[in-house]
Amino acid sequence: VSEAPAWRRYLRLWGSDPQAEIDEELSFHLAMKEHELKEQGVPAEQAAAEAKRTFGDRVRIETELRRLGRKRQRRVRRAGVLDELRTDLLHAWRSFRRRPTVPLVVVVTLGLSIGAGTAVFSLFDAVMLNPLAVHRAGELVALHEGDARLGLSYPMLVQLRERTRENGGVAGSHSLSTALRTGDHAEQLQAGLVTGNWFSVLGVRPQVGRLLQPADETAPGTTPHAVLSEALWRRVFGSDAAVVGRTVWINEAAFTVVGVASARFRGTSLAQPVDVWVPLTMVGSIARSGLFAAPNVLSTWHFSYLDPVVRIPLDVPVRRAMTELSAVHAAALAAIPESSHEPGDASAPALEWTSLKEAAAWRSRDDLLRFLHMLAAVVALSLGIACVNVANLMLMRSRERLREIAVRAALGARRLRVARQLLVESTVLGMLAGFMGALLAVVAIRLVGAFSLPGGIALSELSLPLDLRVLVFTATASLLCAFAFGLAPAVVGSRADVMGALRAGGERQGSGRLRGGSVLVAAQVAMSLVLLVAASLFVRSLQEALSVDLGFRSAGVAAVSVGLRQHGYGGEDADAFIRSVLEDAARRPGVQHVAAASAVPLEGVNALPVSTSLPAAGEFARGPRRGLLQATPGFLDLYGVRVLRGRDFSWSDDDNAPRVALVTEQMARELWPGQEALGQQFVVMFGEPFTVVGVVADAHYTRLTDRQPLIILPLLQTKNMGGMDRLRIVAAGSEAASMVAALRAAVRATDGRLPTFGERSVQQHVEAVTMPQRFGSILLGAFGVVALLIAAVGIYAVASYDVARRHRELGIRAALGAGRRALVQKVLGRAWLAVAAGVAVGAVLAAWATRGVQGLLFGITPGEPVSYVAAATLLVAVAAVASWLPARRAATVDPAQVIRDDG
Amino acid sequence: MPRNIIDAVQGTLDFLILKTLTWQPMHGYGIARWILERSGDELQIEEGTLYPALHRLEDKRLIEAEWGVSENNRRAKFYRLTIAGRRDLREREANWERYSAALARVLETVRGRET
Repeated sequence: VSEAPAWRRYLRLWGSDPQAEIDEELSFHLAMKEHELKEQGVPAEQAAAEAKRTFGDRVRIETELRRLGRKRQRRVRRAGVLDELRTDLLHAWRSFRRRPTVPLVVVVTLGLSIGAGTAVFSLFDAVMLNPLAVHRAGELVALHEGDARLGLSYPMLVQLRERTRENGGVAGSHSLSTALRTGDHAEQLQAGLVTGNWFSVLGVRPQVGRLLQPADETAPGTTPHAVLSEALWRRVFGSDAAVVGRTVWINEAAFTVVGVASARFRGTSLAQPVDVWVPLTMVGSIARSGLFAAPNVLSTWHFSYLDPVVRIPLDVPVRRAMTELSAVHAAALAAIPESSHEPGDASAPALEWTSLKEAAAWRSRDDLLRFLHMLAAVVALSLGIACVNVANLMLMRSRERLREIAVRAALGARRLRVARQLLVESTVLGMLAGFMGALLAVVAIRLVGAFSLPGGIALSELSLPLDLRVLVFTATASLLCAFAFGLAPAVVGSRADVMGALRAGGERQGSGRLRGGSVLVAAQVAMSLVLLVAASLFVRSLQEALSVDLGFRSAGVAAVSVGLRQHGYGGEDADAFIRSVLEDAARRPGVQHVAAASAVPLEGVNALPVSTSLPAAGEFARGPRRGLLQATPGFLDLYGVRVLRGRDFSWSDDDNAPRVALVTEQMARELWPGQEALGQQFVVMFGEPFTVVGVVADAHYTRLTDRQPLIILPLLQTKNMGGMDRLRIVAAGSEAASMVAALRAAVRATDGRLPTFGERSVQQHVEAVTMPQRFGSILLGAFGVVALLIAAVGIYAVASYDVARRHRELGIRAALGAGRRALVQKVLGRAWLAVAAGVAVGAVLAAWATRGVQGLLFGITPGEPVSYVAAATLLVAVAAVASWLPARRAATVDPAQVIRDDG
Repeated sequence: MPRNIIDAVQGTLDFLILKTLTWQPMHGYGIARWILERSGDELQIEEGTLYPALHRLEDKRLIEAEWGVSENNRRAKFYRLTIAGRRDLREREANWERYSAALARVLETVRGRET
């Protein structure tokens, strides 16, 4: 084989031409074949044809070869990119190894804020974006009647379900607090009474066994089937799949477990997670007394207790579905026998709808939104601080590496190539930070389980998932950060003035670029100040909340709850039970006072219409709603509330005695302004009037924020007013914990079937009530400290870099006789200017931003100067230390050394 | 072992090409002639199908190609075995021997029964 002529090689300079090469190769073959055939004596024209014949289909083969060629080209190109990427990665790794401090700080800084962001996003996701573990939650709407946001009666729901077609199903539910017992385990929990199609309309799947189905909604009392929540199944049955077929007692009625709902599904209300579902038609077995025990509960049109949910498929306009539902609703209303509503009557309650997602957090939606927005803002702020800081660090790092970059550029590296190298480095850092963030988020989610959100949504009940969307959020956040902070150095790096950098070692870069660093520091300081001000506002309001004089005894007081109504107690037997429990508890060691009540202070009370002008018999009282508490004698003594005038209740104020009442001083003034309250009468809703026998001192009975007016009624005379399904039994003594134990023992001794629940001391109540302040203090405090540290690192870095950069200038100044003090000032001046600007901007930002948290604060206003002064002082102190350390180095510059180096 | 007929044919062609190139680098026409000469009329292959096979082997880095000048002074693409190709060929030979020995044993047995 001879070599190709040398000139041929130069053809390759224009790149190989695959098409021409294929053509040439195949033509060569045919020509050789033809030549050989001719040599064998075949005539010329036949030889060409024969060569073609033996070759086969040339077109097909050429096509095949071209395809192979394209494939090869693609592979080569890909391999080239991968190869460069590998080089970049290797290079990044080596440069991290050589100088690990900056990358380490970057990863930790970003990781912290990404972790926090991920945790908050999963919270947001669980509460706002995807609060319900149901199929296509966006298609579900909640219905309600009129402004009062009432639900629907069962017959109305059946009408809507059977007479409408423009939807994917109408279902309803109502949840009740019930006692659940299995063997020797008993607890109080929410039971959901649901229509047979409820699970299928929601699109919930069973984890084990089956869910309730339309066949379960049949003749009342004939389908004692129960579905458990996954949480209950895990907690009580240890996730045993053999749970199907077992018996559970709900309010002492036996139910057979038919299945377990899918994980995370806890019904349609975030504040009241449900643990067991039974058919609505079993309501008679569960409700022993009260409204739900009425024989006509399933047939009356006048009891709107069902929360209806409708699935409106995406291809059906909501308006069309609602028009049909409203028409059926109005027609049904008009047809109610004793209805006073004519069709088209304006006072007839209209059917309205809300998306189920919103309805899930309905009662506390505003508070919740405000709180979550604050969280989101805090996280965004800290991510911002982290990114700015990281950009700053990377910027300085790339300036330090200017020489290295310049050398690479001088050796022929393209600008794009250098920029990509820097971007690869920052992406690697971003990914490491994202990984760390995801780990941190898992830990953080565990930690926040101890808190609850406004509206009593317990975070531990939410089972926050670290699911795909959350991970996508994390990944996106970290990559965005990586690009944000990678871009600046990449731009600086690729613009590097090669000759200048090579000549002077990067020393003479213009001061304009340094101003960039100062702006970044100022931005960091500003954002940190916002966080610190907010944190200090929360800490101050927590202090305020804890220093409130409640107006009643809180030390050594604890309460447990029992559900009397659910266990069939109603009349005399309830009196006997209450007396016997209180007597038993009072005898136990350490117990000083005992009482029972419908609510304990700070818990919130019922509000019912109260009228001081007595209505005619059979009519409702017309008057504003007033806060009402039902209590036994001894309640005032226990809490140390003084009776100002008149007398306390006694045990003789029972059902057979005349109705009596106590009012707080403020209530007395509101109901009978300018008159003596003692001896006055009023009516609650309807029935016999109450006579005021005592006026008591004001206290923080229901809220921490102020002293609310309150009416106190004897429990024994108001057993039909509610409170019996969750009766608080309270004891006061030396120590709250032992009070709980004594009360539990007393309840068990009186009726062993009765579970106690909601055990809480007054201290715990105070903690629960101050949860937003606590949560805010801890959260913002933590973020504030991290932000402060990050800002300190930023200031330190900028000052250090400034000193290093101006080493020569400082040396010359020193040689010319500048004193140490002047040198230090020279360096500090710049850093201090940045800090001062940051504090000024931050204060303005904080004033604007903290207006949004006003509703979460307690006892102070967002503009409170103490918080601003405290935050600014702290920040300035930290900045002073962070900039002083490098500035000291400026003072020790040896002029002789500098001048020698320069020579 | 080959899994189906196409694999078998393809595999056989690859095998033959690799074997051919053990002697010396050759252009496509040379390889075709060499194979046809040695197999006579027994192996009916269209000469053109050789080229996709060659290009595939080149992609697999079992052979490499370089443009050179042929014996009659024309530009031609020459193929040469690589080290990986040599290794691959050894494996194919070993496999083939095992396969044909096994096949021969089976045929022996069958023939024994028939008689």
